[in-house]
Amino acid sequence: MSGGLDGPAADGPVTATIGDPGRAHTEVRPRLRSDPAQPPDTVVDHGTAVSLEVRAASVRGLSHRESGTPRQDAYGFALTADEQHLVVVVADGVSAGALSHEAAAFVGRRGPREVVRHLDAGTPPELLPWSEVFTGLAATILAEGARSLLRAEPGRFAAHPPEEGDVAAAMATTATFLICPTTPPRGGERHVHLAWIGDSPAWALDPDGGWHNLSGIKGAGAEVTSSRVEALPRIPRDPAALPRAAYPLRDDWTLLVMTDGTGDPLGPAHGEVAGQLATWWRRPPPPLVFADQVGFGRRSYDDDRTVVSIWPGGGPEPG
Amino acid sequence: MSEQGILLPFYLVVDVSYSMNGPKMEQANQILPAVADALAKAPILADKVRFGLLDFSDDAQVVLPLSDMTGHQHLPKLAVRGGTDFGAAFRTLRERLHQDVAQLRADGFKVHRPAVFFLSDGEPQPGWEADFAALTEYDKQTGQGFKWYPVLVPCGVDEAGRDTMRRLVHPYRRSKLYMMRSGADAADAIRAMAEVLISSVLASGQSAVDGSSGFVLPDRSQLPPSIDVDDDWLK
Repeated sequence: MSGGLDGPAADGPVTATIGDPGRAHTEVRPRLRSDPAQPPDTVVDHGTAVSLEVRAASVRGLSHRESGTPRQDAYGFALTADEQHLVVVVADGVSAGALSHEAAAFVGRRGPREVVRHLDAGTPPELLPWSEVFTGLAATILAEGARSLLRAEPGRFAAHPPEEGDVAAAMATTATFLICPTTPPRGGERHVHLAWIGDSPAWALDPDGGWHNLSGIKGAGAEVTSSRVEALPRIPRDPAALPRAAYPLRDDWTLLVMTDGTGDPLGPAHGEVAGQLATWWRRPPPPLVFADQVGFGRRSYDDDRTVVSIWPGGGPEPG
Repeated sequence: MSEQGILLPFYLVVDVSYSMNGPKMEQANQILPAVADALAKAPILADKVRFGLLDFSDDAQVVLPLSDMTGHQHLPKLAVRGGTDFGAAFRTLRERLHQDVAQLRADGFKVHRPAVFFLSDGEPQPGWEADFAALTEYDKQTGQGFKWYPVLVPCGVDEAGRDTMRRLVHPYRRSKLYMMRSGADAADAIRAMAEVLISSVLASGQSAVDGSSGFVLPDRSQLPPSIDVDDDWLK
């Protein structure tokens, strides 16, 4: 394993890398965000939800750091009122949209709350009306996005307010949801539920370092990879056909929901990146170390990165 | 699905027949350092780009194997020799492409279709057409031909014939022909073509960063005055 903690200089800062970090990782000088309304370069969270240990980090990619453009990824979570379920979402703003970071932020803020509302009303996770959730989020993005566009380009929309197509061209985001019970049912495995639009993958990591995809791998089976992404606020004609999944999960497995900034270098999860991340994330690392690891240097991977990790079995090993 | 990220291979193939001697060769020798300088200032793009240099006259040689252009203290120089045999260039190019792409893929990279800038200042010896076909023809249905055929961008100066050079544009919809304007200085035109090459390297790299996949040539409006572009294909 050639991954490790290498700094650009012996006495310089130490940052995580996997394999050849490339030049950009050490040479890019990140531009400070010029507008305080832009999302911070990096956000980190950690904590416990009943028996779950959680880490989350969203890190601006090298290309956005270099150009001074905002991080377009976001995450969010919410706990049901009875604290029986944790709801997690990651959102990857589509890079073609100049305001996609706002769409991702909406999904991160409102998505988990919306799912929790259904759970709190007594809907069990397996019956969750996902098409209603996604349709509602799309409507939120269209409404909020129209206001943002008016603010951003008042001249262009002086005569006609922005239409849905204008908003969808300016901001779009993936959304991958995970619902995880906070306590295991007596004597059994936890049942996790997922639903997603777009290509932000969810994985489970077993104690032997094996990776198990929960949501489909980008580009798998396709000879020519397409950069076209399914994304909110566009909803498929039949929203009920949006993918969803449910899995039983053992308490010594790690759950990870991520954007493709991490999913792409992970690939089909049997190479160097998979090995190093498994080593790092078998047990919960300290939160700031986790954020650094999410931003690992690897040649030619310069996209925003976001990972929310859940360790159902709780905290770090004693000692 | 690759694990090592994407790579965009670029090759420059330079005619080093005797007619290139003098200011033209001096200018051609400025291209490699200029590419290295441009990539040195753009680490994000540099991590995605590989660059190689071949020359040809009666035979063809690899001057700089496909490389990431970092840490090159001494870049190799071109020197003139012999005549102008396009066929030799196409044969060596095909060999290199075959080996380089296979190696990069084996190393786990997702390799973009290679782009080749082909610079010549004269009419070739006859008989190159079969080697050109072997380099460029590929039938996706049957798998016949050269799967990793390049996007070939011909750049002609001085005595290079427009009609001959136009036949090298491949594939039609993705490439263009760059020619020295009549009356322009050939060394100036080579410098201008180097600008086209560097713009293309940077724009293609940026396109990859932005999640698109594409080989990009600069817009007609950005062309230096000493060359023109032939891209109005009626096909």
